[in-house]
Amino acid sequence: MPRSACPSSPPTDAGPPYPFRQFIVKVHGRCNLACRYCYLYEGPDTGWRDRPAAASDAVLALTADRIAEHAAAHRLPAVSLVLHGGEPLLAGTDRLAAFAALVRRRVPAPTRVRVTLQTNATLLTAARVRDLARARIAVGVSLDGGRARHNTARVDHAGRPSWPAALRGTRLLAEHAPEAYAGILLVVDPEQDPAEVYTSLLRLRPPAVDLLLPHGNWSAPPPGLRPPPGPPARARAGAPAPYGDWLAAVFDLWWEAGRRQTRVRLFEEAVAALLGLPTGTESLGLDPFTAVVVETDGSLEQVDSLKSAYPGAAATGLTLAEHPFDDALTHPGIAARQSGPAALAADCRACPLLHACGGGHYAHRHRAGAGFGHPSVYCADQQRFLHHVAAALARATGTGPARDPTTAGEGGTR
Amino acid sequence: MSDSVHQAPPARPPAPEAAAVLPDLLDLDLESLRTLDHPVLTALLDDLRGRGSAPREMLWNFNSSF
Ligand code: SF4
Repeated sequence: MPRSACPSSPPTDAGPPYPFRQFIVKVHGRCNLACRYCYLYEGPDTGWRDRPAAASDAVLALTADRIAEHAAAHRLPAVSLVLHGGEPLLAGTDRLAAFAALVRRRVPAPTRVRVTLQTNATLLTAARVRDLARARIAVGVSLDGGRARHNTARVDHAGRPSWPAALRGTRLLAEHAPEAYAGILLVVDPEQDPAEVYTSLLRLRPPAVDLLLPHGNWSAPPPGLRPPPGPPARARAGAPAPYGDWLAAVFDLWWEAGRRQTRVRLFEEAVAALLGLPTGTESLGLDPFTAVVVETDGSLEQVDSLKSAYPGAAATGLTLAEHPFDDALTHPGIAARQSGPAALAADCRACPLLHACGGGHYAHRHRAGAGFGHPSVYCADQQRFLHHVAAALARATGTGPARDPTTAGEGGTR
Repeated sequence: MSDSVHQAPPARPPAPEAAAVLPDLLDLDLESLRTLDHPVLTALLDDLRGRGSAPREMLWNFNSSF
């Protein structure tokens, strides 16, 4: 059956607002590392300084109750609880396990609760890995590559490299609790060799990888990008696309390996989006965004990536003590991310890649003083990457012209 | 708030030069694609099964975690 090219209406209801299904809980708001590029602690938003370092028992209990209330009210089949930070392991694995158990107890059947934790891996020990696995908490690791030289920006507060501890922690996970190993998140650095980065990650045996673009926008462009002067607009054919080129190179290694060596979320979601299926990523597609953040003081926020745009960009002014999650669904920032094409720039709405790209990551559309109604600052990269994947898919399936039109003068993608 | 967070998109006309058109992949039959000799695509299609019927129940779109 043909699929819609504009998957903006979930099957269970008629339209927005869509209930939250993913709850990102800042169990600990500080980090034991001070990565040189960190937009959260080194970026424009310093709101974390005014909040408690860790979520209290009362905040965690209230969070569990509010998640349960939301799941019951919307009869959600499943929710995702993400233990985040800062560095969530600073909260201690006993506390994390107890909170996960509390949420599972409070959320009524038949809603399933999936629990994940995202860590820099430096604090993982054999005992902590065992505790997390026993608590059915899946662990994602954030790295910049699988070698020391890829991770030189990931340092502690004294400037010492985190890599030895991160490597040790990641290996513990892979060797002692593969069932609790969710995967590796990597922020792309186009200065690094894509093949070397990818193959070095594979040596850490991740069941999944995701490749994220560094946060940036039209007013604070990401490293290596120089958007053309003038108002934000769709990128012209042939515009430089260093991130798109990098992603395309890794895609080829993954796609042509002869077997799936690991799942790569960005690539799999790109294929899904190009086939007209709903997507599970912020970077692509038109699906409503359904994640919300609970800060350590119990305030409700939008996701941290918005803080890369300007101070206070993620704030909602709501607190769990006074507001159920439903109240956040009507916040303009959250509503904008559930509005599909209607909230996008005219260039995006007229773009042939709209259904697959969806305007890119929301934070990457910002321009100071002019909001988020623009194409992504990565527009050229989104085009390069998506055309590359589409051409590979067309070749594999014998569908239409198998040429990447953003790669001038080439008959194919390789 | 120091910035206009969610202004309506600017009412400027689309850029005259449209991005190149994608190959037509939207009408492909997923079941028949699984018979192709492409192990990565086959594994991926196994995972994508079910997205048509219960598309969003288990799809999480927050990027900064698994
Ligand atoms: S939909 Fe994506 S590729 Fe198209 S104009 Fe918008 S940002 Fe660019």
